[in-house]
Amino acid sequence: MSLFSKLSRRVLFREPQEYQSLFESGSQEDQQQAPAGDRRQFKRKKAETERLADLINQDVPLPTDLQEIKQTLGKLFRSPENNDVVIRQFIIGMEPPLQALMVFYDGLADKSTQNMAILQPLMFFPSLRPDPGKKLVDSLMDRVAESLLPGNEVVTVRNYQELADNVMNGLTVVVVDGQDRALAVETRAWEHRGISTPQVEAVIRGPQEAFTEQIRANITLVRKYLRRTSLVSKFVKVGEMSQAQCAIMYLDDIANPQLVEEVLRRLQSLKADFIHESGILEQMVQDTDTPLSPQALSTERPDRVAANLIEGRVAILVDGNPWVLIVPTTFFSLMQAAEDAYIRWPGGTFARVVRYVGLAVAMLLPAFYVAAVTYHQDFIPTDLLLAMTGAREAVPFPTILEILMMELAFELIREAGIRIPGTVGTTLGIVGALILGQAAVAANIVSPILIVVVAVTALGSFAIPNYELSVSVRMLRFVYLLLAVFLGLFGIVAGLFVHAALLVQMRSFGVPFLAPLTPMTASSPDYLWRGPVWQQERRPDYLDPLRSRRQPRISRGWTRHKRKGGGGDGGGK
Amino acid sequence: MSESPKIGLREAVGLLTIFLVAKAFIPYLAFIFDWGLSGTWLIVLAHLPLGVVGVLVLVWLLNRHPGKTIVEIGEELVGPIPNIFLALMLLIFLIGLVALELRQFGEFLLTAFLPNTPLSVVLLAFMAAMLAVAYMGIDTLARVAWLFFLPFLFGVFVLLALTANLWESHGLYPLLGPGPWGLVKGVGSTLGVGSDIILLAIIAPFLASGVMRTVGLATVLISGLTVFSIILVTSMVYPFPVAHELVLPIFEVSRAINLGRFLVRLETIFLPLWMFAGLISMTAGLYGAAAVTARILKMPYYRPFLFPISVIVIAVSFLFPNIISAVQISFNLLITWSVVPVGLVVGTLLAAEIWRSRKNQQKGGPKSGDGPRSGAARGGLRTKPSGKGT
Repeated sequence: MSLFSKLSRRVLFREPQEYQSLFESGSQEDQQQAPAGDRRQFKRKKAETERLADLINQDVPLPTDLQEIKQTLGKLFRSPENNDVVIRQFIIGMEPPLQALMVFYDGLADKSTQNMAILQPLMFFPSLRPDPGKKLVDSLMDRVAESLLPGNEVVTVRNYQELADNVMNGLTVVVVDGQDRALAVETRAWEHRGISTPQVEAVIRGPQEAFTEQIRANITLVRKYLRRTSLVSKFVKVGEMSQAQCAIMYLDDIANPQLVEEVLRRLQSLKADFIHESGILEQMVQDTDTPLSPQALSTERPDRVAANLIEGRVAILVDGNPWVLIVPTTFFSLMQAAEDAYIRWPGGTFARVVRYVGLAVAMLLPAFYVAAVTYHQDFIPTDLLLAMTGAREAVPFPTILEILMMELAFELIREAGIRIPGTVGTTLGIVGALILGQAAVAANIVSPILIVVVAVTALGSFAIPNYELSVSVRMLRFVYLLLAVFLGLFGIVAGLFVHAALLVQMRSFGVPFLAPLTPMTASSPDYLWRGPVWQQERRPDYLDPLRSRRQPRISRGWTRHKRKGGGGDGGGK
Repeated sequence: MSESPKIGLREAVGLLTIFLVAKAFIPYLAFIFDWGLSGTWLIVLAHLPLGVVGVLVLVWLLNRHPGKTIVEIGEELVGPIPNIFLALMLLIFLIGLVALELRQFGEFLLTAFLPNTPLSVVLLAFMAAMLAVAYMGIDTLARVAWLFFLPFLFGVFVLLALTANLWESHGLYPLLGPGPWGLVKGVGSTLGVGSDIILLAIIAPFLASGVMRTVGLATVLISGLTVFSIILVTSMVYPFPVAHELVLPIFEVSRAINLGRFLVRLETIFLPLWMFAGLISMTAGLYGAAAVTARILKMPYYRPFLFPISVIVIAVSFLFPNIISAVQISFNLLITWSVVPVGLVVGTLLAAEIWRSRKNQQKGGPKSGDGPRSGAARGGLRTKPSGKGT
């Protein structure tokens, strides 16, 4: 260990050396400082852990001796220290009787299924006959799987890795003495939340169901919307220490194969310890670590996932997580809400315009206020300027300090409101904002117009439909504030120039973040504004889908073909 | 993944147009009224066909050498040593252009919006933003330019339209201003107004094949008509000699907008337009200077040269003692004399190209530049015979 590392540890981090050494197998110096007994125990434990890890990592086949398997499984699942795992030995009541055991996690597997589908058939009704010309023992596992286990999904397991994976996924593994294979029977039945209404992406008009923590249920929800044989859901295990079950979904006849391949490549290459949440996964697969904007769209709505798959995108699902990632995404996707498509197009377009105004206000209004008050007073109409100056007269702080105090107070209220549970949080938010605002004005700490500015800014940030984008905008607001303090409106414009360039440079899975605006590519009228549904004729060109056309140019056949014998438009007779 | 940048047709038109039009937002264009008096708008109109001819010549030359910048073409046509002089002329022109524009934009900001801020702070802030974006690459800059291009054009024409109630047609009379000969002299003395199109010859390798002519013509026409509209409206709102006395013509025009109690002082709304235009234009110039330097030194990367060139630009921009001298020198160098280095470079290469073609023809060999790639640049590779029976 270098002198600098030692110094930084002792001076900056002050880590206790003796405990730290336990985690550093490569560092001999630190280990020498630990007591000899501890060190021996540490080495023994480490060797044992490595041996057990090899069992999993090196695809070690199952032995035929049941007692050996039982002993190894006990060590692998840390039984009896680990009280969750159950290794139950029983006898298959055939002639001659056979020793067997089943292993499962208590709580993950369903007991009644185990009793009905495994224990009863094997213990009470094992009337097996060998295949003609063969000994029973040669094809015993096949015969057990075919004739005795009535589970709907029975999988053959040949090594410790498969065995452990299945047990950890809630299946029950049956091992029979003398056999080099085991059987994993579907018994998954852990507790989970039912499908409920969307909490964050709520809509007034449209489907009212959201994803849950069950990956299977989530896939089913999407499949319910997209009834196509080409809808593929491919499972990928992600993570090293605790592998998370992920799945990608795409339409095989629409999504660009290179895109699908790239998504799979990124997922399969991950070597992280623990990826149990789509937000963590997003950070691991995104193109750049820029704070400007998220590069994947996270949604809790199956209908939104279905709509994006239809366009040629790929969805990434993580087991145990109700948020699904959609890639690639663009800035315009992040500014859209599901409801835009469900109401008539003028309403959808209007809602989007309001959102873009909200985005601009949330990011720039405080900076504009500071710039106008500090540098460009002549821009403000005289009457308004007099009113503002009068209100600010008694305030002893400069404008920037005023606005920073209020913005910080607002961020505190927002953060506290989220952390405090339910009703209390809402009350705290309202009361905190009202009381703080009123009191600050009464105490001449801030001017009344500043309260208006901060409140409108907050409303603007709430209008941004994507939470992560909203967080980015809230952070950028402070950057623009600083630019406005030093250089007024010019500072803001210079900041916007660099900001625009950074956004232009961003990519999401290879797709330019500001497409189809720049670079300009063909697309239906559905990015800045929402065009009529019957005009949504093309899939976004920047996704390069296998089928570029969504619907024919005349998608409403009735406008061309009049009803036979009808009385014209809306003809009643 | 290292890919060479690609610039689309729209992005290229946006970038080059803003590069050419940005000069209308800084003071030195007001000196053009000296030459044209009330007929200044005719001078700008006369520049249009000249600009079209100039850009067609440039595009012809570039298309003969697809995938190469003007520096590389020069090396091929006149040899490495003479080409260094030609490339240095271009480099000095670009550095001078950026430095003078930077100084004027800085002075414009100080005059109109930041009277108490030191000039150095403003210039350094400009340069910081320009450096950051130039570092990201010409394709990024071109996309930013396209992002801003339509709002920019819309903003300029809305601004001009909002002054409709102030238009006085007598500002255009006498129609020929200083008379026909005076106008011809004015046109000749301000030919450098379009020299900036030389940027096309620097970004040419990044354009798709076959679009260069469209890019060049669209740029000249859009920028010519925009500057023409600005000069025309300025002449009508502030008839000569008032227009001649304005320090910031378009800024004064925007200040003149008065459409009722609330539609006044709209220059605030247009400030972002001018600043964006200035930033894009100067960043393009900075990139151009760095790219030319890299080509002179035969280096594949332009980025190492950005910072040194920015230091030179800042130093040059501080050379002028005050705004008046900066504006006067800018007009003389950029509007009157810039046609000389740019014309000399393009003219020399053109002459060399024609001479080489004839020489090759006499030898019976292929024409210069008629390599396998030149056809692609002129409109795609032809793999089939074009006519029946051939």
